[in-house]
Amino acid sequence: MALAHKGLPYEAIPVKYTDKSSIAFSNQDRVPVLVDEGVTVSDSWAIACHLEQKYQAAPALLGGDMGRHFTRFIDLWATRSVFPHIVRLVLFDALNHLDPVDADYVRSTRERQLGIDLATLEAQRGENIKPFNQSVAPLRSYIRQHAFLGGETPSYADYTVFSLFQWARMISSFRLIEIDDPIFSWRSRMLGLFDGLAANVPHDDH
Amino acid sequence: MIQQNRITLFDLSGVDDELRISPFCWRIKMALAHKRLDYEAVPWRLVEKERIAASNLSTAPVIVDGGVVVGDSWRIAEYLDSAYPSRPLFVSEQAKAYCRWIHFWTERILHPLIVPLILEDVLKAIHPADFEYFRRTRERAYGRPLADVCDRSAVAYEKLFAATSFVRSLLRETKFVSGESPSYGDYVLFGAYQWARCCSEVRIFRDDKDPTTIWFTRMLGLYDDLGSRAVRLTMLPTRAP
Repeated sequence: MALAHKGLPYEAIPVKYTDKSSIAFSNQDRVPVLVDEGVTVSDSWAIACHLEQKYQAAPALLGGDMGRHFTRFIDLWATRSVFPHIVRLVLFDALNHLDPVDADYVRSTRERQLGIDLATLEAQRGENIKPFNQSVAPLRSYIRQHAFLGGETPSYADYTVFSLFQWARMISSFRLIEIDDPIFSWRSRMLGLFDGLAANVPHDDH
Repeated sequence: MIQQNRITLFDLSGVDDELRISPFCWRIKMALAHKRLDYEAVPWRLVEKERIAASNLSTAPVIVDGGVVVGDSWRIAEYLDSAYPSRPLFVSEQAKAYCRWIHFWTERILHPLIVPLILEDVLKAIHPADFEYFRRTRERAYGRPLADVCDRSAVAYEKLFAATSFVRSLLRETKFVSGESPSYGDYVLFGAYQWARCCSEVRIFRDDKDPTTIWFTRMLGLYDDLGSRAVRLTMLPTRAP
């Protein structure tokens, strides 16, 4: 979304959990990794900052110093306060979308991290939706008054939160957000951006 | 130089006139100090509705600035910036959007996690004349008796620390939430912790090395120790039960 926002041509290369040889050159083992004219940047926040710094003539992703602080607040909030709740709700379904080898890897590593088996988590969805809903309450309040977190137009703050919903939507048919929720309308606006960049991928959300 | 009126702030007070116990009023005191505006924070109680009737609101903060009466913390902050443009609380539209986000996060996430930890002490801090009103309105808001809301279990602390873990990360990277100098967003966040500090001795930070503790100490020292000088419930002589 950030690359599309900046209007930059790019190629997205698939990487598997259990075959990270293609990103070994980045000296770490997590995606995303960006290679931009010989410069390698890993970590989504560092990539957003890199794109903003290097392509200043293109539409702003962060919007100056204050925008950067705002976006970082949202970025950390989304990753630390919202993502864990979404993981608990949809991770079980992710297994159906992975190569068998990757699925085993994800199941064993995540079950160890979460201290619970994924099938049990799936059975607890009814209870786990409530803390998720509470965690996104600030987003709900904000989106009632603004079209996007970026204001009239979307910015990286929108992309970092939306990516969590997009991930859930791609791997699971579980309904995270009800249709009458302001967050649902915001998500629809996000899906429509950049000629349906996010809408036009295989997904389980109907 | 234009003569400025002294602004009056109706500031929620507790058992003692000098015990100021509203997180929302603390935001405005910090905002007024930020703007170097001359103000008087007068003690006000929840039941004194007629004193703030001109605001059409039922609770503090309310400010009176000459002939202008403004209530609601967010609207007061907006008013102060439009009436007194120098030393802005919101340096840009972007900054304002950020503060609005912090406002929502604080009210929807942080306050509800602090309440169970401090409520028992808030009940001691509240003025006797306000007690029944406070109990009735809060029980309606929480949907259960106040005794059931009070919770100082390890789980309640853990919930607070988990929900604020990203704030610790943020404050590890910057001095104030908006960079090198404090903004209204800092005052909103500060209001929540200062509310807890004035009413209670419970542990609201993980430990002394918690970046939020360091930030809060920095906030307490701003504007000639405005926050630091505040009267706390624990400083008052113990009253007979």
